[in-house]
Amino acid sequence: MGQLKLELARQDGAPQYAGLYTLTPQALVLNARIGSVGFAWVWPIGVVATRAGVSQRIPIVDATRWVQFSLWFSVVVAGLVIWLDRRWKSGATARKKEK
Amino acid sequence: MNEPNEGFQAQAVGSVGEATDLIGRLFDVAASGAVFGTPATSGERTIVTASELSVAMGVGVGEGPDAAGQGGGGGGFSFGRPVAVVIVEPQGVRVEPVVDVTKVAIAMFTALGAMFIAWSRMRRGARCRYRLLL
Repeated sequence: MGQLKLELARQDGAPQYAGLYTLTPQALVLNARIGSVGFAWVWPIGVVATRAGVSQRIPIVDATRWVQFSLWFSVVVAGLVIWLDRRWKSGATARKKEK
Repeated sequence: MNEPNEGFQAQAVGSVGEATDLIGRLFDVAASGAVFGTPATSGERTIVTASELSVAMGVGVGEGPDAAGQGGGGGGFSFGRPVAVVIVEPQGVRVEPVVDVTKVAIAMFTALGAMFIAWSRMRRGARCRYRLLL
């Protein structure tokens, strides 16, 4: 097995012409490589729209990914709350019994 | 295997060096230009699809003692998912997100299932502790 090579970089793609606008795509690229095994992951982060010399960057948000992260985060938070609640209740019962 | 297959390319890899070159070319495929589709125009509107793309590949080549035998294998996958649509209109440019309902539904049911399992296990544990105290 070779050494792990990880690379995360922002890349601007070739401009595309759509109507009066020139669109320059922006993406994040993650490359991982170990010997003769490689993995590449590219996801869009924005697009720069230029018209008559005026540029405007429009961010691209991955709504699906954000919803997924929110759900997983809520599971962690809910699990923590349930655990703390049970722990507190069991402690209270033990204290009551001692009295 | 000799039949021409449109859109599919098979390539023989004879050595580790060739395999490494093939993996190097994988990163050329996964460039920022690949995530944005070709603009499609209808009337005054032009639409460009922005997608997430992931590609993985692994190749291995082996040789027997004294070069008696040689063999190799490889495999890989590629995955693409539309993330958003860039709409170019005379009024301006806007981005509309694409929500993958199936993915969201799977994540939601997994989350609910995990919460239910955690809650029921903690409840059972609390009951056992309560019985021990009594």
